[in-house]
Amino acid sequence: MSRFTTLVGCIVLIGTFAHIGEAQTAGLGIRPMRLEMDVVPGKPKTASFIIESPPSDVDVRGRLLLSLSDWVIREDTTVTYHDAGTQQRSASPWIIFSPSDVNIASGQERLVRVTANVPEGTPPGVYTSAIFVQERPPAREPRKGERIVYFRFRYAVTLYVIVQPVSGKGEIGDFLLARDSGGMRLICQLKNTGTRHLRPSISWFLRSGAEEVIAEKNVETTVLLPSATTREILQIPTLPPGEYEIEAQVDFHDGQPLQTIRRKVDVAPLSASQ
Amino acid sequence: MTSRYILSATAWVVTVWFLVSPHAALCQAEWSVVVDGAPVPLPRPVVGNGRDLFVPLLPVTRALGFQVEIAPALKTLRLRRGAGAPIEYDGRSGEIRYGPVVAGQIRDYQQLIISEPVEELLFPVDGLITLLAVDVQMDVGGSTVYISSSTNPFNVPSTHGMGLSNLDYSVGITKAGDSEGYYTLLKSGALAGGIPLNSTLLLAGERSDVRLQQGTVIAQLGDHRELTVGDQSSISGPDALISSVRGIGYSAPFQGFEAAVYGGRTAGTVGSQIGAASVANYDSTIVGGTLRTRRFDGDLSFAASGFSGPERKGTSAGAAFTKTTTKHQLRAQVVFGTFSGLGLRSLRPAVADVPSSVEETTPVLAEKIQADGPALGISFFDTYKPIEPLAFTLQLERYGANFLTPREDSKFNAQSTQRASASMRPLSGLSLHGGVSRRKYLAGDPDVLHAFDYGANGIIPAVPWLQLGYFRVIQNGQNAASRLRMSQYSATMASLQYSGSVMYSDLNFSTSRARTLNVMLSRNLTTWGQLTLHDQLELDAMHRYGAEWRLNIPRGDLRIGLDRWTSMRSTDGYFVPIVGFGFRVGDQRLVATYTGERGTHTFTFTIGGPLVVRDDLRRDADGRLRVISQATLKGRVFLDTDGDNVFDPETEIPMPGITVWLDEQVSAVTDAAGMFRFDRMKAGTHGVRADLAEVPADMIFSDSGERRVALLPFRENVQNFAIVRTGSLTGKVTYLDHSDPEKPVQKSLGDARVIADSDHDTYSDIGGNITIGSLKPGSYQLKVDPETVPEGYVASVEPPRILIRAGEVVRGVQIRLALQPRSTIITDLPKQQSVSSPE
Repeated sequence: MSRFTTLVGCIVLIGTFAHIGEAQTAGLGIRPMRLEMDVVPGKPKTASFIIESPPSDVDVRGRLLLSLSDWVIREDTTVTYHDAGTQQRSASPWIIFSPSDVNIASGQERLVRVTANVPEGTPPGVYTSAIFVQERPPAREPRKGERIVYFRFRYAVTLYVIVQPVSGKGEIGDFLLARDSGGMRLICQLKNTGTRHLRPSISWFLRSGAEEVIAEKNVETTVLLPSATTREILQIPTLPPGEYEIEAQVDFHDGQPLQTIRRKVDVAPLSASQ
Repeated sequence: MTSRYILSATAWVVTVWFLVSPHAALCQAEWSVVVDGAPVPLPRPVVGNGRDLFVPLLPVTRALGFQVEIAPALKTLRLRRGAGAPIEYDGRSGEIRYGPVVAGQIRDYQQLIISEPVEELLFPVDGLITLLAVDVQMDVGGSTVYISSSTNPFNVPSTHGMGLSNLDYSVGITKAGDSEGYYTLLKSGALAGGIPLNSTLLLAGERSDVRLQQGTVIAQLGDHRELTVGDQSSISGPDALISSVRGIGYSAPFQGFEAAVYGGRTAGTVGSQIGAASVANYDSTIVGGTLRTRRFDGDLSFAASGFSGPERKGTSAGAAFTKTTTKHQLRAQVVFGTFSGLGLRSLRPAVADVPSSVEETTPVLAEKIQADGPALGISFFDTYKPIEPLAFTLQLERYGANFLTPREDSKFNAQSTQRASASMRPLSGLSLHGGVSRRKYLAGDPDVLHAFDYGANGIIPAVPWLQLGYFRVIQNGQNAASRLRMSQYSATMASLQYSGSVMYSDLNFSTSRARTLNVMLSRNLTTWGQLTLHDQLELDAMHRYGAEWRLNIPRGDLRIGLDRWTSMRSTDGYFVPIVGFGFRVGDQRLVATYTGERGTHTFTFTIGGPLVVRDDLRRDADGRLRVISQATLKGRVFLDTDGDNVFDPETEIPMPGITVWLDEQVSAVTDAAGMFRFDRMKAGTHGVRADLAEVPADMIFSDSGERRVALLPFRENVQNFAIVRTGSLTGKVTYLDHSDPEKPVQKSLGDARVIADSDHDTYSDIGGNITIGSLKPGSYQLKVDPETVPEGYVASVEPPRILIRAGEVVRGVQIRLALQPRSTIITDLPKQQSVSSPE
């Protein structure tokens, strides 16, 4: 993992939970958080999103910096961010946006325009990028003997640049019950052999024997990129020993029939060594 | 002097109101006004905020070359530029007029007081836009109002001009059996020599015999004068004189009266044609006049006329009075004249409340009567409501044996009628009514008819959706042929889904009897339309029943039905299909129906709608012509590569897919040519905004993209939006560190705010680097916010003036901060006297 990725990951994690030290904005709203742009190579396409600073009793002001990034989804569905233009099928080299930095105060909103200039001859497919929106870090160096830690929020607006014709083709790879130190879970492996990303939803059922439903849930999964495989982990209660049937019904939202997979599984009692 | 005080007080109130408003902070900013790029000195400050900004009018009008006059008594402001059309603001209505054309109306105009001196007059910016036909851009951040002359040509319609303002048409064809009827109805408004004309033409006929059946042109001459040429469907005056006249009429105020005179041909009889309304047969000559005035809280009128036709002629004069109060509805008239010729006497039932369905079944009995000599016609009618649920009606009419009217109408020919009736509602769901009448024929075969009628309508409290009714009429005359008995029972139901009715009538008139049962049931099928079943049974005559389905479809409706007709006297019977549809295409309405009665298959086709919709011509209270017309706005969004704000189709690129908003309510998206268009908009001031969200990120509008503009009728309102490609600059901020005074070192400075203009600035990063993007092409002088640099340092920028070109990045801008050298004060003293020194 690159240093940049590690740094970003830390900032995102820490920033989620940490107290805001000298943060100048009290949280932002971004709409929409995702832009999907159908483009024709050789013709620019523009979309936009709004950054809004919620009203506040105390006038809060800040300056936001915007920057491009690449991102990928790993098989375990975690998202990692990378320097712009470093990943395969990155749209970052074609993206321009305006403004790249902006002042914002409580109750204000700012328009950000994003233009994709996809070069002619670009093959059909889905290309991705992201725009980070974050507060500008102070440029001041710590004084002698001074140690400062800044925690900041960072928002990512994900971009999908779609060159037609594309089509998604989803299928269920596997469905199994797993147990580890964290407990029991269902793992549903999803594959996209098509050229367009999919947003599958899973309805899973857990039956005792073949009749009694002891757990069920509908889940919106992580986006399934073209030519990608993910392993969706579905939390279930700990099961006593016995025979069970697990079933997953997946709607890939690709215009194809629903796909259902089921299997019987024996849950054996833990041995003393386990 | 008084007006000066009023104005000062008004201005003071307006100023205070805005200063204490929530936008006080902005209000207190000193606004400036720029007209066509040149700042305008203001004799008094601008007050208000945003759209509610009030600016001194005179400096702006002078800068634009207008001359201004005030007429405080009329609350009117008049402007003129050169030889152009006069522009007027009417403070009584808030209207701004270009000549006769209403160009807009100021909202909340009651708050605007027009008074002298004109130098002190404040005018709202929104009103100014329409008043002066200018475009305005508000720079709220810079507290500046930018006013620019519109380059759009404005043609004020001449009051001596001619033009069609609107034209509606309706064309119909009816084919019934072997007959074919045609009609065309045209209604138009026009301006001729500054005079508004309203015209109606009806062409109708059968087969090839289609001719002008009716035509009317009404000219509004102003000052409540009106000239009518053609057919006049009614001539004001006592009822006995009402006739349809084809000729010429003129009305005008006269000595406190509304006077009218007319002359021409009048209808002696009225016929009918297939597919057209009733058609008058103009076979008599008539001249007459009326005087009408408002007296005694009612309408008082006097009339006189003379007519001559193939069957009758006469001369008459009379007076009429009508008055309506909360308790009375009174109408009375008296007419005296001499007449000769043939009148018409009808022996229809004398009871006023006989239902039309029954009236249609009664046989027509009429005879012509001879009249010659003087006659008096008197009519009195009054409805008296002493309390709300109770009403009494008294009707007395007597038209002498010789009384005749130009039109063959039995109502006014030789008969005397008296009728009294009452109605009451003793309970909220029950109403009762009844009456007695007497009619006596005064000429020909004498006869006296006596009749009485009574009835009730009501609902049962437990069944509120069901209404029951009963009606009974009995008429007796000396002649057995005029005897009438009729009973009618009805039940009507209405609910959200169902409606229906059952009605049974039993009519005995003269020697004939008719018993009729009508049943109708309708079901609302919501999105599937409405289904109706009906059944009509005339005992011993015929039986007709069937169903009809009506369905609303996009832009129209469909109608499909099938009836079965059978004779009760024979085995004869047939089916009657009914098919129809109506469509609306734009403003045009098309309707077609077919009914397949045996032997008379009837097909009707009509189409109609507005052909021309331009403007509305009216006279105001002062009798002046006003032309109220709609306006159109169009424009283009384009990439302005040479920065001249003018579209060059050879070298510049239209921008499709950009949304343009009008008043933030309606929008249009630019087409492949970059064009947008708004039609039929209300004239006046509007806000137009091109949406930046769809403009590529490396481009920007050359101005704000948002304007307040005047949409004026009779001109091309064009608003183009030029887009320019932006540029950017990069550079570095450094400062001279004097930590070691002996060896100052150049270091990077972070957090320094560098300003390009009011919309573009940035902060240097830890390495002192700066980037400012999205800059419009032009020249910039960078400044450094002194609040963000160490105390005592001043900045020097290299190059001092930076030229940004479209799509280019200017690199290497150096901003150096250095301690400002401290000034030294040097004082030269006079030479000092020599000082002795001890040896």
